[in-house]
Amino acid sequence: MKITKSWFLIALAIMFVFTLTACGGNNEDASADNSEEVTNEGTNENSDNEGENDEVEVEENTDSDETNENNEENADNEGNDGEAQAGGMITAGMYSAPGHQFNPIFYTDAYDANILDFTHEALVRQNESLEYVPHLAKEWEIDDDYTSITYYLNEGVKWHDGEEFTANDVYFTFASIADPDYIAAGGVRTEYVNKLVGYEDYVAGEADELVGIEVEDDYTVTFHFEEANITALYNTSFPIIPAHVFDEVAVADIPDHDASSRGGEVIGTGPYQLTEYIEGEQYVLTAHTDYWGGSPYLEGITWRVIEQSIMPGLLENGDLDMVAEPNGVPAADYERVDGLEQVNTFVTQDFGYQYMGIKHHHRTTEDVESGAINPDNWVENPKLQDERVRQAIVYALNREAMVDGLMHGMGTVLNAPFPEASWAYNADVVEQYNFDPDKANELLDEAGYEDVTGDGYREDPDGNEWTLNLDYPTGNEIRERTAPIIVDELGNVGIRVEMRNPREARAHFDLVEMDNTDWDLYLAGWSLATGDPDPFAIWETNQAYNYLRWNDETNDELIGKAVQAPEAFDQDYRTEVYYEWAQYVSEQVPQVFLYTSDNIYAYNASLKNVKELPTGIYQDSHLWYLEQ
Amino acid sequence: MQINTNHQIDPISAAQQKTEKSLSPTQLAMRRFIKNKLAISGVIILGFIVFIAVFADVLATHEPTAYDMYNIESKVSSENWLGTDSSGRDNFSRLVHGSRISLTIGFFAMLFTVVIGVILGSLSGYYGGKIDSLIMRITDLMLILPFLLLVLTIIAILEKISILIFITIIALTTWPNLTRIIRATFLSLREKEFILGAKSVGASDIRIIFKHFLPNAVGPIIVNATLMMATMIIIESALSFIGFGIPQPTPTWGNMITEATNLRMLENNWEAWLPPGLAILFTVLSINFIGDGLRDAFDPKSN
Repeated sequence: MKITKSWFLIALAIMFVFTLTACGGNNEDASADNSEEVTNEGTNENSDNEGENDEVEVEENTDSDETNENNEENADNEGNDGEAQAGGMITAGMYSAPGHQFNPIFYTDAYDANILDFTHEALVRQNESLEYVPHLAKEWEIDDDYTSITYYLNEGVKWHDGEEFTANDVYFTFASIADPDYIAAGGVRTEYVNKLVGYEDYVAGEADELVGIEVEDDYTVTFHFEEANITALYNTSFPIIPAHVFDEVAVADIPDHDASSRGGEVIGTGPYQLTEYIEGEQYVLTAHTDYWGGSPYLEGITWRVIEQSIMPGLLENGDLDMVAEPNGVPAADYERVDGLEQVNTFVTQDFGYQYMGIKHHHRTTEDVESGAINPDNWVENPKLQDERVRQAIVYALNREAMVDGLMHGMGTVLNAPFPEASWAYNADVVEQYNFDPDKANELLDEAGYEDVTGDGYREDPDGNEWTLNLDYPTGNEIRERTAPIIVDELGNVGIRVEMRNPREARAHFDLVEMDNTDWDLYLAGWSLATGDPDPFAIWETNQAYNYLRWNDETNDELIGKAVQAPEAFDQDYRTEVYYEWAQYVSEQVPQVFLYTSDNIYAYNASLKNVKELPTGIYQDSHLWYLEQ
Repeated sequence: MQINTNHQIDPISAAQQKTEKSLSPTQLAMRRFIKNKLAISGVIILGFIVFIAVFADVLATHEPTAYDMYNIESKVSSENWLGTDSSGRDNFSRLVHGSRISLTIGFFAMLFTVVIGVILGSLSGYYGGKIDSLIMRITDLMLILPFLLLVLTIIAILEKISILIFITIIALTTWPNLTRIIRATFLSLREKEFILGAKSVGASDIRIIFKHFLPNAVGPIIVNATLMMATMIIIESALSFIGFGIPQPTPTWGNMITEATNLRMLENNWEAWLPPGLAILFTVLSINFIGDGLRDAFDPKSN
């Protein structure tokens, strides 16, 4: 009896260990899930693994009218050493199942985007320098006062079901987004239409027609904006859905309609059509032979939902031909994947970034409850008002080591919120803040924060205890790891930091937003669009996304100056202003920029003609072919 | 107690034991315990782990919370005997220091639970009636609530978890089982003649509980307390593993196994998660062996 019992215990204990480790396997993947969501107005506190999606289009792109480039620009022919050969299927992998909302105007999931990027197209798209170039439209005209843009559409563009693509589809798409029922039905893309003339009336149900969009003939359509709009191209760069399919469907019913979800019934103009799928397992895209750019060489693309951990092995033995959005190859696996002869990798900087936020002010409880953002009511956080203290914090942190060590070098230290690919980026104009604890000590001494009690931690200039709270979320493993390191590094220069228990990401970001708390420092990230560098949405004092509650006149002034008509239509002018703004921000340190991670894409080396762009590798997929 | 009864019934054996100095029940239990090989091996293993915990500062080669971002996930080397974890902290030092946290939490959470359990169980079992039903309804209520969910909720509400708070939370959520066991023991003792005797000579309630009930209930209490300590260690590891335990960078075995949530680590860096896993396994196993041994020792009916 005793012996049996002991064996049972041993077996139980062994099972316990294995259960723990087994659960663990899924954990990383699970954490990746909760974040790929594309939130309203596009900014998205990223709660997941390194490598955010760029699905979230918060900021706008301008680089207006001088971009009438040749529409038929081909792939940049990288590695295109032979003749294109038709035939073959490729298998692509993503780590989580799409949300099965295959309608561009309603999807919110970066995994859905993996399908939609191949099935639907917009009037314009971005090239390698993030400028807009023609796509479904062959050219455009912007009028002199920048209040309207006229598109001339390509003729002979066919939907998957053989119907002709016309200006009517363009009107239908944008009118659906402006529909009174759109938001209630779960749509979040109103930023694409809310600058149009007549939007207010249309969304209120008072007008039968969206007068801001004028269909002149089948191949000409004009958008009219209420005010001069320097982001007209961005605002009109939305994927077009077919009017003839959804014409009879009420907008509220579109999300659940068969044509938004079923294989073979999702209709777009893209080079591939979603023909069938096994939910949660695989999604088959079949070549659209009538594609206006020419029939795709590949017969199709099969998306498989795979476990992130087995991805390198699948690439290695050729069961997988492509890994891309939204998380790509994890940094830790990069070396292994890059070392594979049969695999090409492409590394590009993510547009989003990770930062340590500093709460300059807190809102009052009443304001939080009523949702008011009123700087007049804000309560100052006295602990971090001195900019020398904030500068000292940056000097005290070894951000280079975070990138080179924790992230295996697959990232970049950041000092201003512009990614390297952006035209507003200029490393030379911003303060650099290399790791320098001595400098940090010096600045703190200078600011009057000295250790008067002799306990190794500094007190504030009045000699009172000075402790900063640090809150951070779970989910992003690298970010979680940095928290105790930050506490320790700040401790080294005598800043006492109280690290609190990590919260689940959603709870954390709720608290970031409802800031009637005692927070001082917090870790978070922004996931940003590929477009315009305009920092307004996050940085202007009165914006809800100004989570720092940073109230600074110079900041607001510069942000406003950068988009002021008519000077702002000159990109050089804006570049100058953004340099100035970036410099100011890097000097004031309203938040500590930590790093931006790399997006790592991998694809089979025999897959040719893949266009490597800062926005990803999905463009011109009809030109992809397999070398046989 | 039953042994005493035996003596009265069987004068011959009583006489025999008198000649070789009669043994107290505790001594008899000790004898049985020492004969139990499994239990003794448990004591030895646990003793070894306690030794490590006590001398952790001497044994550790590094500061357990010191990180080195340029030396992460390194393999076994002369510098890092068990490699480093994903923040570049020395696994061996963390393992050694982890024993301290795990045993501390195991022991004190158990102690706290026993205190609550004994008090409530005694009151309930001794007085019966309304007090009994009140305490038992609270116990039922606690038992209905899913343990893990309850603990997770409490931990999520609290801003900061320290070891002391953690022990308190665990103790406040695990007391019902022990309370029931002690109450049941008291109920069975209540009808015994010697209790009646004590009552009839006018002994106070406190005296009866402490002098007559508790000494007779000490067997079940010790056995359950020992087994509970093992449970506590597992609870700590499990909660730390899912990120709701003692926060990083404090070294605990549960925190260390968290590394294995990553399949790459699971495949390539066995040194990061296997040692703490084995440490938990051996600690819990040895405590359970001891607990089993004690149970057999205190139960005169066995053998």
